[in-house]
Amino acid sequence: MPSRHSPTLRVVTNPRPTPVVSNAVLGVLIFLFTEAMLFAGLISAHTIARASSPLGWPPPGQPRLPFRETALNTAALLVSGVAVFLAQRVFRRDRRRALTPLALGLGLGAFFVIFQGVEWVALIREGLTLTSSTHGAFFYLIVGVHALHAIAALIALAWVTQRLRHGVLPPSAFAAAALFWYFVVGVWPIIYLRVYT
Amino acid sequence: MSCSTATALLVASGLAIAPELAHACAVCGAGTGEDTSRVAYLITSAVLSVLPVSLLGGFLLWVRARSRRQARLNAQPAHAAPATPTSL
Repeated sequence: MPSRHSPTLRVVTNPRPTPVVSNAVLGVLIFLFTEAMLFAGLISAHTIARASSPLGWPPPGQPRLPFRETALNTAALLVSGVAVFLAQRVFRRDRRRALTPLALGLGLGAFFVIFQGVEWVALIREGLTLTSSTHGAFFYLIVGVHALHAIAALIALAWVTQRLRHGVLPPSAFAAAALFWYFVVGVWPIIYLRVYT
Repeated sequence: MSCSTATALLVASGLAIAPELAHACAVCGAGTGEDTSRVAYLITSAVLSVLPVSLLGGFLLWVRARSRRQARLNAQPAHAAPATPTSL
């Protein structure tokens, strides 16, 4: 039995083991599940309306959507997704080096949103509005909802970039913001192929 | 007007307006007409039915894989550590 003043060794076990999924990532995942169903519902409604249209699609007298021009925009968005992915990989080894690919992803994402805005202005001038036809209503609704998500994800990425610059970015926050951006990037090709063709 | 006459009139008017009201449903006409419409309706129904199950299933599989990997990583140092007496 140890005496009163003898040194003792305290064995401390970790009372809270590391969670399999961080709270931030889990929260974003739950949010993205609901958003996936929202987009699925919108695209399904568009598909049925398009198939049921007796006059063909797009309806006569309505402008065609700029499929080729938007291909460039789509490429920019996909590259931004790859850039954020690379930033996340680099972040695990060297946090400072993750700043460059992250900024590139952010810039390309901003380019995508601005290009979409320019495209909308041109289409409105050509006569495609929310009330001009079902075609216009679906286009602005689906692409508009996606643009809102893109803007929200860009704000999250900008916040992440700033925190990374100051060296106070938790990995879970980066993972959550990146996950949101992957969703925006992943949904877009489906929208592009369903709505623009 | 007797009660039976009023009931008969109510039922008759209900039957008369019910089919018209049914047309107010945005998707009631879908899948009953042309082939393309029916196929689109069936495909989107299938996608909307399968998607939530796939998302949930994929998430659970991913969590299981991560959990197993984490358990493996946690177990490694214990096996690798030299067998030194720890009792005091």
